[in-house]
Amino acid sequence: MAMNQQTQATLAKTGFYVSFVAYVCFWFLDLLRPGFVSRTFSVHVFLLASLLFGIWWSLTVKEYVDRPWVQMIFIGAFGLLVSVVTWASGQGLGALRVLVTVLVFFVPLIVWNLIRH
Amino acid sequence: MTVRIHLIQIMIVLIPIGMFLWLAQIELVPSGVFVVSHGVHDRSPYLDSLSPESRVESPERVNGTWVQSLLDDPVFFFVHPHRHFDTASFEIWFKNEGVPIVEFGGLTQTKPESYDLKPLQNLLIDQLRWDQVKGQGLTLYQKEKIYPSLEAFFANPPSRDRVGVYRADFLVPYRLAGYIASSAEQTIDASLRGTHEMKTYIKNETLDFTFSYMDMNRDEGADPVTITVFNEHGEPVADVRANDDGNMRSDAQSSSLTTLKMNAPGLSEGVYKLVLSASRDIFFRRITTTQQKVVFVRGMYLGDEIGYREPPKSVQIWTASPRLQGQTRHGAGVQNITFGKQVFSLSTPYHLFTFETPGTFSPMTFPKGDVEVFFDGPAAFSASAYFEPDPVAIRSYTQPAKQGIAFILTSYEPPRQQNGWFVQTVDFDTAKLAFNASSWKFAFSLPDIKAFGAKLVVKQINATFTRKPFAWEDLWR
Repeated sequence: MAMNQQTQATLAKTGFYVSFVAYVCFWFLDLLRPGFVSRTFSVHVFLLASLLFGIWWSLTVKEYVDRPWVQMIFIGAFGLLVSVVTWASGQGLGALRVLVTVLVFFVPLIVWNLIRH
Repeated sequence: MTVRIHLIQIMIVLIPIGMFLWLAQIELVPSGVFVVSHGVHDRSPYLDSLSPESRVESPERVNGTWVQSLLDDPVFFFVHPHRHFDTASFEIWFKNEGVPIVEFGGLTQTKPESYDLKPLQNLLIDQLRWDQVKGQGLTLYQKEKIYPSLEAFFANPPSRDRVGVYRADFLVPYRLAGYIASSAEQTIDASLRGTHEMKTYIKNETLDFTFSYMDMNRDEGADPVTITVFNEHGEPVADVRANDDGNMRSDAQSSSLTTLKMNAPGLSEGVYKLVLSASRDIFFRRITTTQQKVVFVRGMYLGDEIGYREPPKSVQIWTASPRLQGQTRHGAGVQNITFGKQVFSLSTPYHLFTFETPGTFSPMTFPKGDVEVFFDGPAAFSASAYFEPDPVAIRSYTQPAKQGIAFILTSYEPPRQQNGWFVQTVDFDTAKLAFNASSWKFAFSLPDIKAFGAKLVVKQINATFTRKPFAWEDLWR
């Protein structure tokens, strides 16, 4: 039995939020206790799941309300996330480490602006 | 319909919660027992692959089973426990294609590396068709049944040269019949570099040694010297220590000849072991003692005499070792060693040469020292100082019939056989293992595997780690 648009949107939205929150939580747990997740499987499977659910959700949405401040919160959080990752794995960058980490923080904002335009 | 949607939503929420609980029980090990079942072809976050690659073949599938062949000695791997464990137990599945002695052990110290080795299989013992007597955690193999029990064996033991030991202590005190103490001094006038082990015999006399040494300062760091005396029970009974000469640089500025005296009166009769602990910068140039019996065990590092005396003095030692190994680390140390009527050539530096000997008590002459030499049994600097305080150790090259061994005492238990594989379990106390970079190092010891053209085929290395069952404090550890 095919699901209607509303049902799909509900499930996709749940999947998106759950997998995104799970990704952030497991990622932090893995930072707190290295190997807690990554020893068993890649923490990025939750990111992949949230992407897939996100795409599914976007396909079911006909109308949407633009909430710039919510977007900004996500962009800020994502910018922080990629900055931490860059800093943590950027030992080889030497003196450029600080600069690259700061620049990386703004990458989600730039991408978001490009998409909107 | 709404109920079904809610059920699916609940399932979506439960999936990461379930994963978290699963990961938490892996992390916390609530039962206190953590098992890793590891095939040689598996990738595991806990057990690495066998290495180095030059000593193993790549895993291959034989009759549907992944196996890996070990071709050279030693082969090792690292274990990465995710939290503290008190014990580590390994169950190893293998097929032995001609390796005389297979041992497995964990690294206990670095610089120099030392392993706590445990037997997996001793083919020399397994292939004996001798009578067996068990007891006290030991097995006595007898060529001809003479002793009905181990108690009878220890009550009336045979001569030491007829007893072979493997992973067992021969708890029969050694006594030299007719030995009379003397006050006459004897001098060992040879350069010995770094750590050595000696044994001496004491009866109604003071243990008295004078060590003259130089700190050659070729490597960086402090070079203290410690000499410890152990009695027959392995208990320390005396020690002396000297600090570094004050020069910790690697400028090759040698110290003057320094004297360290070891004097221990009132020791009861028996064999005493002296452990000379020193770095490779320390060259013992002369040892003077009133003890009549003094032998070195395991090996000697005959040092070069640059900066001490030139040309270097030749060195003669006496031994009955059935095998000798030697190597020099300098081009100038290349030389021919004579042992009885045989001549052994150390023809290139940095190569460990192995020589089989008739095993008869003979002098061995090194024209110019600068050789690390390893022997089986004791070696002395004079025939009169020689004695054999220990029974014969069973090695990969031991030939019981040729060496006159009629008894073998061992704690070794042969592996069980299952589905055409040998299975042996070995246990380790992790408190004794070196824990570096969050890892333990374990190794297969396969002496002479190449010389015998043999190989060890490994299928499975299963590890079981144990700790106390979960307590809430574990969350913060």
